[in-house]
Amino acid sequence: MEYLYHILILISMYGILALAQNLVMGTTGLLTIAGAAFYGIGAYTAAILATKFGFNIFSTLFIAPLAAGLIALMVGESFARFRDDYFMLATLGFLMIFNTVARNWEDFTGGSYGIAGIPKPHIFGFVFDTPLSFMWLSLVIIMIVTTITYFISRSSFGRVLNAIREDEDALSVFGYKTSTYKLLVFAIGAALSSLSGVLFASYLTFIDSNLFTVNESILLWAMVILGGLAKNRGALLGALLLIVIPEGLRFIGFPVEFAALLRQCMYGLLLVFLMLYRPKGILGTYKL
Amino acid sequence: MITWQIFLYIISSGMYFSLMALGFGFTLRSVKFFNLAYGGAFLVGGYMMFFFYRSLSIFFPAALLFSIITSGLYLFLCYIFIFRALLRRKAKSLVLLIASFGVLVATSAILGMIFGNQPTFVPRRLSDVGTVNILGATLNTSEFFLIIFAFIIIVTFSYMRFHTRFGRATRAIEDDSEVAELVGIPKDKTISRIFFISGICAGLGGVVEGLNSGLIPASGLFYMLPTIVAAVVGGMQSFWGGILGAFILVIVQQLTIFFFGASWVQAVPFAILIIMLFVRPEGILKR
Repeated sequence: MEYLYHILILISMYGILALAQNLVMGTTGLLTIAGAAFYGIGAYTAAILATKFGFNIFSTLFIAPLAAGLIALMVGESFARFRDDYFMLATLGFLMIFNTVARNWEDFTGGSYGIAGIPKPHIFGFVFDTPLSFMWLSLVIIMIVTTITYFISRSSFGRVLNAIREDEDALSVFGYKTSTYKLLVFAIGAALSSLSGVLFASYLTFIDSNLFTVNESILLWAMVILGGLAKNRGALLGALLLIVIPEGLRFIGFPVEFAALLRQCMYGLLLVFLMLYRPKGILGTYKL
Repeated sequence: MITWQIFLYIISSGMYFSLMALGFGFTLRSVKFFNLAYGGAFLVGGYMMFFFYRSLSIFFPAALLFSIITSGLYLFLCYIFIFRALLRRKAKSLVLLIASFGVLVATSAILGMIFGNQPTFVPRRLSDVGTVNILGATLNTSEFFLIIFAFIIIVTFSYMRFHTRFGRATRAIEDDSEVAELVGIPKDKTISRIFFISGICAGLGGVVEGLNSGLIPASGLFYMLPTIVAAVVGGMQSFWGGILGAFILVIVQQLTIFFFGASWVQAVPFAILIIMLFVRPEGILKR
């Protein structure tokens, strides 16, 4: 039973990430690979505030999105002018910088030794320290994120985002300042991703600089594209499939490191095959 | 003497990135997407060198030849089985980019499964890493030979590009692949050859890296960013742009080490890229 809770917690954490990734990559068509960076920023914000300054993890659930959103606004200011391949390059560079900082700024991030002893969230004397209670917390947060992304994709803001994906030049002819919209959605995506980072740090109680690399972003790409771009349901389905199926590998009994590489290989090949045979994904309507 | 040493170092690593950017630029100009599978060819070259030279103990030049041919074949097969179908479908460059990223990730994972995730060094024993003394400054043997090899390769490629049939076909495809096809240039054949040549450049880069500082499966992506930056900054449309970009990159990296320390070197390519995309997105040199 505990194992089932664990899987559900993982699914909701990656579901949040996939929804945020879908908002930027599917709805707006900006190929970002910085997902893991904002995930990491959320995790580090929570870990540092909780272990060094004694914050409650619950309050970092509000602080981390602000921090990640602000950082996204600052770096996104320059990214928002790029499109397509260049946007991806710029975000890749940002991810590399994030990894460099996380590894080298040891006083603050603990480098590759990481930060240990991150507490569980508590509110009004209730501590979310059992898998069951943590599962409920994650489910509530993913519900909130789903609602937010649902409303964004239904709103006029969401329609502008869709229009940016389809034809950015045409939209700017109509007087929309597309770079502002791109910047905003990038920041919203970052803020939502950081929520998952907070949950992750608190759930694992330990983070280090090797957890938020480009491999995580690749996993997010695979989830969003497999489920179907520009569909919130698709992102959730992708997260569900790509958490549950690799968990099956655990029962075959490969060594941990080998299993990790095998999963990574799977994600890579999955991306190639999706691009070749079904760029729409399972539920998607929008074809890359 | 310290400046002479730094100068030689800049030459050798500038040549290294020139070679990488040159191979990358070949595919970038002809198929017009950032072919990240290039990083996979880099890894294949390096690890095959490890396999042929250290595991099978083949004579060094033969092992070198085998491994760069393998990495050439690797990119060639990537083109035949993946990119050709996507290009025929006229897929957007984003689709090709994602597919090539998938290839890179899968390749590095497979190599990690075979050779392990720890750093892998090509040299068999310490005496393989000899040094060459040039007027008081020292270089690794591999760096020394890299300078010579890269120079020969650059000269050969520039000759090939501007004076042979294949070079003319390449330039025609870079200019407008559809028109090139209409006037009877064998597009498919030319592009697959371009991928092969590009793979050879990447493989050579991987071999040198394996000899100098060792390879890890993640280093494929790790070396892609500086390579892309060198190719973009110098000017994507120009043959010489990659070389110019490579030297700019290396010089700025050295300045960063001097002023800020070595741990921030990884951030340099990114900073250059951002500045460049703002100031002159088409790169320094035009075609």
